Parts: sequence; structure tokens; C-alpha cells
Amino acid sequence: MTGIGFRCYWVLLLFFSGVYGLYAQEADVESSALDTGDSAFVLAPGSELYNEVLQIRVVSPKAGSKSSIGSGFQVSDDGLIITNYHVVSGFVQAPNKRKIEYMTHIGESGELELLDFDVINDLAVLRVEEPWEKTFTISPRPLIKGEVVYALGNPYDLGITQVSGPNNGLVDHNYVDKIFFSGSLNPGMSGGPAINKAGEVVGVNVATAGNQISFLVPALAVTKLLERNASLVAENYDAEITTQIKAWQAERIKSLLEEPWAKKDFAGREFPDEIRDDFQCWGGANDEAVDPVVSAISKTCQSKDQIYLSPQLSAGHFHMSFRHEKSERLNGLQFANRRGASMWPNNLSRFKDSTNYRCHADFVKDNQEHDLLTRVTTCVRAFRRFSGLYDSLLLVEQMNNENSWSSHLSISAMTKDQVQALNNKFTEALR
Amino acid sequence: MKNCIVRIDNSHGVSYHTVNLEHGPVIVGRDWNADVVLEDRFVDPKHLQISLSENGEVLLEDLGSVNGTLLKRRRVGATPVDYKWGQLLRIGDSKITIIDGDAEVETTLLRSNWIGVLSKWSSPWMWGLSLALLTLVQVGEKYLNSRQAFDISKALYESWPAVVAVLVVTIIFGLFSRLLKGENNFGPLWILSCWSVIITSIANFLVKVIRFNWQSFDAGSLLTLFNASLIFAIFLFALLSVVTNLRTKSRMGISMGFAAVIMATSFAPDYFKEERQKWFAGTRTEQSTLPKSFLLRGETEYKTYLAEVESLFSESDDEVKRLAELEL
Repeated sequence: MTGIGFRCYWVLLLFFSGVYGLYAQEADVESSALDTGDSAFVLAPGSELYNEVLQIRVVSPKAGSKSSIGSGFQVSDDGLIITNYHVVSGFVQAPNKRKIEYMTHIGESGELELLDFDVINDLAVLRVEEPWEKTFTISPRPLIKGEVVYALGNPYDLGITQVSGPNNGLVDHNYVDKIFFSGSLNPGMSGGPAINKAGEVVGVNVATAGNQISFLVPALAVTKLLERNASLVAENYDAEITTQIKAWQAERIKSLLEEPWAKKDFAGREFPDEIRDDFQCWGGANDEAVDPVVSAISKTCQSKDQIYLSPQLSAGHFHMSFRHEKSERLNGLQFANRRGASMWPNNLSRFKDSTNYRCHADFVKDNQEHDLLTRVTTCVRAFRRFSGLYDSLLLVEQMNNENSWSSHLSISAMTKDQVQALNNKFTEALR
Repeated sequence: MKNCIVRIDNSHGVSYHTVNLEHGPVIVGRDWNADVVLEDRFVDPKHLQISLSENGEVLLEDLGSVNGTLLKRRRVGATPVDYKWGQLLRIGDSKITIIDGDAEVETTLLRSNWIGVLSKWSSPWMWGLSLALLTLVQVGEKYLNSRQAFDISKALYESWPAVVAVLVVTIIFGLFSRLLKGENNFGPLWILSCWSVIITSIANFLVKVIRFNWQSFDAGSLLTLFNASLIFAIFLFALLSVVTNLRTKSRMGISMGFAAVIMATSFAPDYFKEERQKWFAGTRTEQSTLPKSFLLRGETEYKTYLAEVESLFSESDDEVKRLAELEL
């Protein structure tokens, strides 16, 4: 919906596809090398681990060169390698057109086979034909808040780098667990191991929000994925992604449907607010405008979780936004002319991934005393490759000649039942 | 003085010639020296003679033409025959009617209906009234569609393009009319174009009300376009009547054709788009919103609404299947 800004930071996934500028980051790399002088000393016994970190590349044989790079590490004697799902997503999108390759610190390279992935936690399991001797061990012990973590990876294809910093426990307001790491992770370090002082893997580098705010996938998710011991075939990638999203959404949406939603006053009416811990609301008003024709307040409540599927496709978003306008100098007709029902989704998609939105708009009887004209616009589009999953946009406009409340619910990658139940709960919460 | 008007209707259109019978017989034919020149290759250079009898009746006489002259399906010979005003006469490919010019002939009989009506109304008062109404409706339209606090001086200022358009149409087609028909039709054209704009504005608002009431009907833009094309077709038809001598059928064909072209060119680009280009990330729904008092029907029960929304899912699934079958 237009006119509502989000004040959330952007999380940059750490795979590198050669499009980022290098200049500013070069300085960063140098300074982090200086900063971590003493931690390099601590690491001395495990410094050979540097050489065990692999660069993972998705190669397009047609172009004859790599299209994106990340990092990875071997976790078992039989050659299992862990990296991020987003590092190999280019391969999952087109398994018969691309290849996954590794490159060691001395420049040896070879092909890797994709065995399994976890799109929710952003992990992938790869296998190398001829395993190396040394493997990383996964820490059996949960990380203690404040414990120093050493993240390894290959930023911008510059060479293996180590970044150290304390971890700050799990990130607040996230449904999917992520470790909050105070270190500078940079593009290309995705999928690299984050280890403790003992050299055991405690997490996997995944994303950064800049300025030493970085995120790791907890080691527990890696253990769980390895325990699955699955071996996927290319034909089933889409079906597997569908299954994973469905399982995750079922668990995530269940309590949202069962429990009553927290409400707060919004321009004189009770509207949904931070409906669970993983939702955050931000609000604003145009109270600084000089002599406005309408006074407006808006609020956006969203869950930060989203699933990265490809550079052009993301899913799992859950946004609610609300806007109240009060006419200051307009008559009913002019005020009504300001309403418009077009909507934009929060997730990225393309022709290849989704159908067009199909919509139905109508005026719906209000079940309350107030004489508001209520227009409900429901729009749905289906994922083309993830059967039974839909993106949905819902707009509930309640208006009279002086006031209008526009409430917007944007949800992504849910089943028909989930979409209908959430839309219904949202609409009922407003009526 | 016996004035009469010879009305000729053939493939060149309809034309009128005023002749005076008191100065002697009038010759109709293909010859440049004929009194009424007829461009028709089946007509002789000197084909037909119209004269006045001693007791003041009109007489017709065929001057020995090859293809002859038909009056009431009978051939007119060399002996003069009586003619009654308004009877249809056929020579060659042309239809001829002779009208008594001294009688009180309704203007509409001589000129086409459109121009007749317009000429009847054409007077300085009417020109002024049309302009005033045009401005009023323009300002009203701005008022109805405003999203800001209404500013009448701004709305008045923004009405000038409509007035200029009306002026341009009047001048250009007025000159055409002069050239093609030798008639002065500036007045009728001014009234015609003023009223076309006025009717368009009123119709646009009615369409907006219909679209508002009919939210779930997602062809609102089609309705708007159809409305605009229809008004344009009527305007063009009237314009052609004023400016040219084209037959009704031709005028109808041209105006309908133009309207169809407008409709087609607006929709064809969408129709011929590749599936890939038809994809759009956002939503498109009816945008018309008016105050509740314009809602002339009852609101839908929420349960009914939910049932209607149900089909969006299966339709999307069908779309997935359709695209998969197309292998896109």
C-alpha cells in the first residue's frame, strides 16, 4: 500500500555475485585484520582451520565462470559439506544449467553434489567425491551469550578471512532462531563456519545488517539437517521446498490463529498490534505538515522472518499496515477520491514464480453500530512451482465523510486454509 | 417567381441546386452548359428538361436520353408529363427530387436532420449559453474529481483546454464545411462541440457512479472506454453530417469505424502481449470511490463475500495449470 514506510533495517545475505563495489570493503577487510590481531593469537592451535574453509561457487558452464560465491566447510569423514541455501539457490533454480564447485585455499577445485537443504534456516548439505582428512566438528554445547565467536569465510573472493566478536545470544523478534554476532561479515562469507575458542562450529555465517551487526545460523539447525540424512534429486527440489515451507508455516501460524490478537488504540478504535513476540510495529504521523488537507497516522506491524528462495523470489512475509486519515479541509467527495485500492506485495516474485493476482472487491456490511462504509479487497496469487501455496493481499477500508481507516494484510507462501483463516481473523478484528 | 430546388442523391452524396423556372426551361445533364450539372456517366449531356406549363404546373420531358428517365417506375418520353412536388425521379444512377422553393419548406427537409436541428438552435444566445454551460460542467467535473480542497479559480483556469478544443474544432471543420459544401456552419459546429464535451463530462460521472456501485465487476475501464467511444462516434457522425454530403450509411460507417479503432487500439496491445508481459507484481482493482450516499445498492453480507472470494484460489490453480500446459 502506498504511503506507508517501513523503518526496518535491510538484511544483506552474504553471497557474492560480483556486483558489489569493492572499494569501501577493501578498507574494512584491512581494519578487521588489524583488530583481530590478538584473536589470531588465540586461534594459533587451530589456525590450520583457515585452510579447511572452502569457497563454494555456483558456476554457469555457458558463461564459463562463476555466477556467485559463498563459503562452506566439511563436517564429516564421508565428505559432507555445509553452506547456506542461498549460496546454492542459483543451482536449485536451474539444476540442469548450473553446477556447484568448490575451491580450496590452494586453488584446487572440483564439483559438488547437492544432497539436502533447509530453506527455513538457510542451510544446504553438499558432498564431495574425495573427502579431505580434516573436518570441522559441531559443538555439542549451546553457545553462551557473550562468548567470543570466530567467523571464517572468503569475502569478495579476497581470500579466507577470520572475523571475531562476541555473540549476543539469539536475535529478538525473530521466529526462526538466529545468533546475533557482533562482527563484520561481508559478502562471500556466507556459509562459512563460526567457531568457538575450541575450534568447534557454533554457527554458520548467514547475513549482515552492517556496522558489526551480523547473523549466524545456530549449529543446532545444522545438526538437525545432518540427522535427516536425506538425498534429494533435482526433480524433487520444488516439492521439497513446498513441504518445508508448509511445515514451517503450519507451526508458525497455529498460535496466531488460536490465540487472541493484542490490540491497541488506533485513532479511536482498537486495532491489531504486536500480535506475537516476532512482530514489531512502527508508526508515524504527518503531524509536521503545514496546514495538511488530511491528518494521517500510520502503523506497520511485521514479522521479520522471510524465506530467501532466489534473488528474485522470496516468501513467508507477514505484514500488517494501518493508515487512518482524518479530513481537515476536504468534503466527503474529495475525501473519497483519495481512496485507491491498488496494492503491492512485500515479497519478490516473477512471472516464472507466480500467477498474477486475482482480486475480488466489494462493500461488506458492517457489524457494528458506526456508519462506516466498508470495502474489502481480497487478492490471491498462486506459486507456480510450489503447489498449494499462495500469496495474499487483503485491504479493508472503512470510511465515512471525515475518517478513513485502511488496513492491509500481506501474507506470503501460505495454504488456502491459512490465508482464509488469517484474512478472516484480520477482518473480524476490525469490524 | 417560381423557385425550385433540385435535390440530387447519388454516389457523390446529396446536393441541392436552386433553379428558377420562370426564365425558361431548365436542363439537367452531364454537359457543363446544363443548368443542373450531374456527375453521372449514365446520364446524357442534355438528359432532362424541367419547365413550367401555362397554368403553373411543372412539366418533365426526356430529351431523348440513352438510359431514359423514370418517374414512378414509368419511362418519361418526349411528351412532357406532369410532375408533383417531391416525387422521386431516376436518371442514370441518380435519384432526383424537385422541391417547391416558394413553399414554406422545413429546413430539416432540405438539410440533414443533424444540421437542421443545430441550425435551428444556432443563435448568439445559444452560442453563449453553450459556452457558459461547458465551463460550468468543466468546473463541476473538476470539483467532483478533486482530491484536494477545491479551488474554483484554479478549476476555471483549468477549463480553458476544453474551450480551446471546441474553438479549434469549430474553426477547422467550419472551414471544411465552407470548402466542401459552401455552407457557413460555424454556429452549428460550435454548439455541437460544446455539447459533446458537456455530455462527455456528465456521462463520465455517471460511469464513475456505476463503477463505484459495481465494484466487483472488473471491467470498469472497458465501460469508461466504451462510453467515451460511443460519445465520440455520435459526435463524429454529427460532424460529418455538418461538414460533408456523405450518405447516412457512410457517415455511420466512418464514425462507428473510428470508435471501433479507438476501442481496438486501447485493448489490442494488451491482448497481443506475451503471457510473460502480462505479469504484474501488484494488484489492479476498481479504483472508483465515492461517499456512501452514492452507493445505491445494499452492502454484501460478509458470509456471501467470503463465498465469492473462495473461487480466487481455484482460479489461480487453473492459471498455474494453463501456464504449465503452455510450457511458459
